[in-house]
Amino acid sequence: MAASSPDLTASVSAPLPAALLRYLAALLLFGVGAVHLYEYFADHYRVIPVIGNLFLANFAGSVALGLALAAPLGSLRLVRSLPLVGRAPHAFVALGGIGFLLGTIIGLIISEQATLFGFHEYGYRATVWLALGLESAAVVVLAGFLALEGRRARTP
Amino acid sequence: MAPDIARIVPSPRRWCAVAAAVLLASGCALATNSQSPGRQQITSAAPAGLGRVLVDDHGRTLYLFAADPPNLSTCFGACASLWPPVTTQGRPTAAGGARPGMMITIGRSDGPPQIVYAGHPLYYYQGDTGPGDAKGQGITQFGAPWFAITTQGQIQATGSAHGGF
Repeated sequence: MAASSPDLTASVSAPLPAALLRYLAALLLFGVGAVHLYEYFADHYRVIPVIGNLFLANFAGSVALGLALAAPLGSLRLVRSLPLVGRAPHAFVALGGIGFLLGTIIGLIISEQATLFGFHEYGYRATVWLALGLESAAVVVLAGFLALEGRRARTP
Repeated sequence: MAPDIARIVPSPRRWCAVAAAVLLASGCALATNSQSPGRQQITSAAPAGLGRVLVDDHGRTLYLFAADPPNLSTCFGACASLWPPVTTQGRPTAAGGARPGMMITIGRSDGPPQIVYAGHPLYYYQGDTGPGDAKGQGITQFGAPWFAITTQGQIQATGSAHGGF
């Protein structure tokens, strides 16, 4: 008598390389958030209209995205029940993370070259380069993760 | 005939566009940009509790940085982002008690020339959101205090952003 096989699709863990990229991206996102939080407090960006709030929001967004990438979303019944997203939740988080990071990079470049909400960033100092480096690295890592996930989805 | 509600109430997309435009305009109005200053005019005003001090032609309070040597700015990078230099394109003018003979300009590597008054390079404070604000008075950031400056070129010793001093 053949026993019915349980549906293991939801609980199959991602291959190791994809998982490593996911965790690396989470760490990079935490770094991005930390840099923005540092600027918010240590360099007094909290007093700048609009920009100060955006820095705080960037910290919150980075941490949220990092946590979402690190969490075992595929094993959560609520997440699995979501249409479309539930089939590859980390992929959707990665897509959102790429959009978030590209927006951050573009905002920084605009504030350096011109003004953003009336604010101009003076110079590419160490923290600015650190932020750009972490953001760019996170985009690359997330793109790599998406590529691996896409290949895994197409593999029969 | 009942009114068409869809025509009266703006769509969510229109609300988002309006909100974005308001946010952009308010940010541009509140924050300080000294990259395209035009020909600057220095005048004076009396922000609440501060006495008569130098302001620009929009009424924004101007500050000196106690760490600056005479006629030299030491505020760059993050410091300049928080305390944008008061810059000018062309010779600045004076009004309202400000003395043109006390004004010179110094070059900056990060933008237009900065105005110096009685040997003190002048700055804005990003925390000031409009005329009459003087939230930078007496506070210490980037290693030294900041003060508003009188028309005589002296530190304004009265008033403080924190109620003391």
